Amino acid sequence: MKPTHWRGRVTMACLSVLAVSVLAGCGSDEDKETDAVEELGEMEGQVSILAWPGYVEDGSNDPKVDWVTAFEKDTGCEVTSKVYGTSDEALNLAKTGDYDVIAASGDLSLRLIASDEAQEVNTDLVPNYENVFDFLKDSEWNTVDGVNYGVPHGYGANLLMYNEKNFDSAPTSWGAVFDTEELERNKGKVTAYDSPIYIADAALYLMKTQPDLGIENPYALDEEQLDAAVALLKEQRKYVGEYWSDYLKEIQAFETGDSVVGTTWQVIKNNIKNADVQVTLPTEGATAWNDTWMLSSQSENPNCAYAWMDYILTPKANAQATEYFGEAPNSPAACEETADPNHCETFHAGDEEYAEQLWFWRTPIKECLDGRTDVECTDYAQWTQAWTEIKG
Amino acid sequence: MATSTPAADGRTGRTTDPALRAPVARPGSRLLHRLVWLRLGLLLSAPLAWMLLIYVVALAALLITSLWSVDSLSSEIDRTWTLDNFRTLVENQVYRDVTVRTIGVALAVTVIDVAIALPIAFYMAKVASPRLRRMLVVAVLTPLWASYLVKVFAWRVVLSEGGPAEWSGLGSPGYGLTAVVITQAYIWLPYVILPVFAALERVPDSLLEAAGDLGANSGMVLRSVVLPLLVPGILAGGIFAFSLTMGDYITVNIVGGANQMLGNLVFVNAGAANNLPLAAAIAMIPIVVMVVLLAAIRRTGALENL
Amino acid sequence: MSLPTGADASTVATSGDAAATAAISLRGLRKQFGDVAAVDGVDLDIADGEFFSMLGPSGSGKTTVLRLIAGFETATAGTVWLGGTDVTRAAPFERDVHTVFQDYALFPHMSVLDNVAYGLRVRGIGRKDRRGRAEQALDTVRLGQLGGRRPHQLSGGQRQRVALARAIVLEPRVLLLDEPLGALDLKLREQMQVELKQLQRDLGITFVFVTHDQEEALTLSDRIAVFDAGRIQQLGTPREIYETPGSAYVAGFVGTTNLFDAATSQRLLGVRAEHAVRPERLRITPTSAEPTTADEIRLDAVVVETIYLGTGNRVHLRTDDGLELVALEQYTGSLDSAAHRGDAVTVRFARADVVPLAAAP
Repeated sequence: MKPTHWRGRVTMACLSVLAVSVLAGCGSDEDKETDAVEELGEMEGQVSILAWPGYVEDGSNDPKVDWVTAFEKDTGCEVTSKVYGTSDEALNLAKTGDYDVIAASGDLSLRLIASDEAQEVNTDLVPNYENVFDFLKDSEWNTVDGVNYGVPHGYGANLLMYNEKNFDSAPTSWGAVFDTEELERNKGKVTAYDSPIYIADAALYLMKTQPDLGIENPYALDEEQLDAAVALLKEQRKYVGEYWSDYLKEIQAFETGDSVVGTTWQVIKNNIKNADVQVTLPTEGATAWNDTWMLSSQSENPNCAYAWMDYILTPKANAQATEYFGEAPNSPAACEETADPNHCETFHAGDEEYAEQLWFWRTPIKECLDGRTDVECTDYAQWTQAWTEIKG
Repeated sequence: MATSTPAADGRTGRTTDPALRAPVARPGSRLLHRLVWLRLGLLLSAPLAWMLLIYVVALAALLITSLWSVDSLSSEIDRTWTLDNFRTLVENQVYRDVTVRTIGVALAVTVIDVAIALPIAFYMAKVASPRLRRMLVVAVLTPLWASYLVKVFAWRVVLSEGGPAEWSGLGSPGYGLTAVVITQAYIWLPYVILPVFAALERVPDSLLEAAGDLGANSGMVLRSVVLPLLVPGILAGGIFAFSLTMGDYITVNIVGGANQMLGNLVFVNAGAANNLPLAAAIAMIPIVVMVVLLAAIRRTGALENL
Repeated sequence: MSLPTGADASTVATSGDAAATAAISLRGLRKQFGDVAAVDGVDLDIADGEFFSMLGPSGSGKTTVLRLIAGFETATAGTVWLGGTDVTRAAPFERDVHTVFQDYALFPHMSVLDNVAYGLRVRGIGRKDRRGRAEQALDTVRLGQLGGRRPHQLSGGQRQRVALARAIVLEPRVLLLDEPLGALDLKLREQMQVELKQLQRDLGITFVFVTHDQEEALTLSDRIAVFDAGRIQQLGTPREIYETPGSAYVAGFVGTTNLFDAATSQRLLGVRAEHAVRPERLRITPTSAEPTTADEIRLDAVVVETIYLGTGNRVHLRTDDGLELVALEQYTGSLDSAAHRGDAVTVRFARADVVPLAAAP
């Protein structure tokens, strides 16, 4: 559920997921710790990291892109890393217990906590934690009942992208992709993110435009609210040219003009060589992601794991990783370290006003995330089923 | 042994090294020679185990998995038997729609590929000179070396707005099912040409000459002799094109616009939704379709000529 | 409609107006495959009702001539006339000739009956009518009961007959047979030879028969054309071909023969030209057992090898002056061959049995 240069590799998915889940079934569930470490001990000399592509670069993909070697030199912890393509793949890999540290998006972090795969992180042992923007700390996707289960990495928003040639004036509302009148003029050239989590975008729009529905959080929808969001998306479906999950695909579609309006990521906009294409954060706000470095409950190298979490939060390393990936860094200090001096401006890093309009991805679960107890919310499985029906 | 000593062999005047006459001492080989079943067993055990693992176990695993369910939060598979997944498939209109759409696309691809493959294969097998034939076989095979994704993305560019399809004056149908049919027909065409070509090559020229000799013109020769003899090849190619299209989920993602096919549903449920049991249940649909199709073809007796 | 003229008298054995009545006339026929002339100027008239054989080794052009007549190949030069009509450019299905293929070319996906009825079907003859005629044709080749079978369920000989029935059901004026017995074993082949001959006589149609088996050609044919290198080397009745071969090539290809080169002929016969004598004309006697006569030639020789043939012996000899000869001894009564390996014998043959050969072209 994030932009990566490797998203095009849809192919690998099915079989590997199949194989992996079989392995996962064999994993043992015993002896999972949940109490936070009080103090650090000796470095184990190795650490194993599970992350999105582009998060753990040791120069093997591009010699100029390397922030792992410095870490290894400083700490003596040799890094082995594994990349994953979807949050669900990551969940299955995490269950094997082979990884000490996991970079998890908001739609994964709660599931890791719920299945006891993540352990509490003592942020006192992560000195660089204090640099991190406050609005990223103790958030719902990294903290449960006041217990921290990880430290924040970078973040980014799902923005509205449009080709200004197709609009009389610049759109400022998600109505551009949800309002029938607006949709009519771009029929067949509308695009949307191809994932059940996109239902939250519709819910966000409904939250602002139809207060009667009582949506408080786009990730906490009861049956009725989900139905309303699904109805809206089914109406949108009639105008959609294609859904995208592959970031190269959207770049190409906007460059040729096959798509002229739809949801996007900043990094995609940065890669489009068509001056007419613009992005905006609509007035309703937007959905977004913020990744968390988590510590596996089965970790055998906690000291090196803590060392990594601290290292990747250093301004320099965080700037390198988030800039390479195309998202906002997690601290003001990191913004000082970016190679492109305008990087943080481009990605609105640290802009709290901007961040307040963002609804970071979370996993919808039956227990309503907005605190309602009188009603059962719809979970991700229901969202998936709904998404299938929306696409038809 | 005394009679075979060099001295006693004087009649031919030749001497023979006794070692050449003695039986070779290889008890293992002798045992294998005598026990036919042992020989067969050793020979076949590896491929049989492989078959068992790849086909039978995988299919059984699929069927069993489709009867489980998933706990949505922890993604743990709940191993209690339930028909819920199949109930979902039957009760939701969307799965019927997607199944019908997938079969429709697969049929269209099959018909188009057979229609294109027949004249090409005929030209290759019966008209072209041996030199040209070799070149054509290479030309047909070459696209198979290119990456599937590269080919599909190439079609995405060709069919894009203002892309080559529009420069050529033919116009582009845009991204959608038509684009999927065109792209899939292109990708699977070699798999149809080759069996048809092989079937045609096996038809002796004398059969065509005999039909002409007996008074049939070219059209009648094609209809009454060539086509019936090509049925196995056409079936083989058609089954390739049909089943490969049935299972595809990448092409429709890239050029299919907002449409989805069965493969996408499997992919979404196996990958993004992490609902392996439902994915397994959906994966049973193309399998059932193929079994029904093959049974129907078998009933017509067309498989007997394979 | 003009008639072919300018027939080369030397290759046309029949009377002068042959072209007018001939079932098949070939004039100056040539067929080039790349640089190779498979057929290099053939003139030929085949009479109505004739059993005509084209004999030659593989690559001699005989099959190509047949395919030119059938229309499977197009002539590079020259013309093909069928019953007085120029069909040089006509498609196979426009010619009133039918072919029996060496591999039979039966349609594997049709029953025997459908195979036989195929030619009737493409002519638009009704189902009932064609069924009746096909059954009749199958009866003619004595396969009446096998109409329902598939070709692969038949033996080689039966397939051969189906191929025949399929052609004769169309009542063609000319039937072309391309080595039709080549794939059969010896016994079956001899039986089919008899049947072919009877069939041809009963139907009264022209057979053009391609074979590389000289014995088959000799036994079946009214006339034979011996082919070599794309040309007809000799044309004549089996008797003419065998008894008076026109060239060393024909003498060597048709049957076994003893060839005398010009020098040997000079010595034996006093004529400086090639001669030949058939092995069965040679007699072997003990040395100087009988006095010589004026019209007999006697040579002293040593037996090199005696080969038992069942009907007699083939004896290989070497004369005192190094000439290699082959003689055929027929068993007559109690004859116990005089010729054992190493024996010194006398070989005798009549002067009249020695045939002069035309100089090879």
